[in-house]
Amino acid sequence: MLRKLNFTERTRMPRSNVRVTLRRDADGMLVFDPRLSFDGVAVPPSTRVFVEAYYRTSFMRFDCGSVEHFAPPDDRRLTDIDSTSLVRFRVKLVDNDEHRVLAVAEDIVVSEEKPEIAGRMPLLPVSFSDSLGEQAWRIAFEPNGPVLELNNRIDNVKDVAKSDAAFFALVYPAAVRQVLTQILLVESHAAHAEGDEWWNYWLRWAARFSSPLPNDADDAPMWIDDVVEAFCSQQQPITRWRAARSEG
Amino acid sequence: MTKLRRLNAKGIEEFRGFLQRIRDGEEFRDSPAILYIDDYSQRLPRATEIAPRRFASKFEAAEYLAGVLSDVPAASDDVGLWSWLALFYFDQVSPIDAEGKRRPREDYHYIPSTEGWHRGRHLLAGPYKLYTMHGRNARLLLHPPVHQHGAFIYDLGFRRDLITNRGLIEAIDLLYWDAKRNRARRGATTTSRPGNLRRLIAVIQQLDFNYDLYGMRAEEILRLLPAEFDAWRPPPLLRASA
Repeated sequence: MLRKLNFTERTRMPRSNVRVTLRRDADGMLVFDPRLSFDGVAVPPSTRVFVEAYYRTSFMRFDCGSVEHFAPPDDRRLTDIDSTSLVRFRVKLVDNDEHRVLAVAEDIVVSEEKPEIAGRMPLLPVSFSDSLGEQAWRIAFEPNGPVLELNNRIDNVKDVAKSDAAFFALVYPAAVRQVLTQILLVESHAAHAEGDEWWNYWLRWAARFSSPLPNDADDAPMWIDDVVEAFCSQQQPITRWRAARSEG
Repeated sequence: MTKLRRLNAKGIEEFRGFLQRIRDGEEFRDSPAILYIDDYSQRLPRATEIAPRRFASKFEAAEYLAGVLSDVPAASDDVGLWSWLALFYFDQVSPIDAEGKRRPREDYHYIPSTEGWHRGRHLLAGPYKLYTMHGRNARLLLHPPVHQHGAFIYDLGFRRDLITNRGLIEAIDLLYWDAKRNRARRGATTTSRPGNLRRLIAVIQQLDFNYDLYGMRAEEILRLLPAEFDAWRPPPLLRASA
């Protein structure tokens, strides 16, 4: 088993200590509401607290007071974050004098559709985008993992994504295939490595459908086929699609 | 002097068509009617005067526009306003090249995009935002002519956490601005030169794990830099060991 060395001297603030809610204000602007717990995080009470919101290249930072006086600012509008329904957050606890980062909670993914997430990292967050042109969907591979982007120009796309059986049948198996291909064949991550990177979570999830994991790149395409087939057997997208059509 | 206006949705569509027609070879005609016809654009509620000027650099343009827009609320996010301004100064944001041709770039250089990495790439709105954020310390970022982005924007612009960091941008100004020649110091963006801008970005990204750089002043950031940057440091900040 690989062990990770921590050279940063900073401690991890558990994601479960962070709750973030997203909502829209009267002008339609995304606003976030943070609730933080500092239980179990060994830092002095005077430690400063900053919440950083980011998505791709966009970034905003909010001074939220200190551990002993947690006070998010009144204006928490995400004005500089790219127009999206998905926002990532980072909570930084910072030493007041030397500006050292004492603890951090990284990669808190919050979407407008699932506005409150704590301690859990979705495997495939969904983002509704205006910039897909004529593409209905696309997988964007970001440093923190894949995001399923859906085209806002499709009528009722949020409902379609949630409950349309045809959409599920056509998009999700292909998305699973693409992500696993990216992990094993494009980025060539080791299938058996332990860890808590996004690909480790994906491979652990996929192993529920087909074990053992592939030993090398030659085995990977067939294993990916097996995973997608087993995923479809479990989810039965065609059966559900046919049922939906006969009901409609 | 002209009264400042903003393009409406119809005007913006017309502007997109205008850009495409120029790409297709049509001649650019100065002061197209959509700048002034109410069907395509409207005056701002509060009358604001703007002059047709020549700008030597993006910094000069941003400084001028910051003065003009000082009383315009939420100016930086106004797509119609910046589209109108790009059209008003079109001869400068899309000048004739060495071959005598005008070749407009992607639309987002002239009509602000609200999404993706090209957000902030508008040739006038981007510099305006940087100027209002960093003031004089934005001069390295905004040194190129109005129609160009330049190496500093290309290298820093992709990381909003870097380009919005006031202390870091001031540190970059202290390291790489040549006050005598009023331009970037020679070699600042030469990737083979120790302590060049890209090396600085790499080092800053490493330091970011341990330090809250966003909350630090320029001098504090400079003190963290390794000896590789000594040749670039302004004299009072040279390391004691140097």
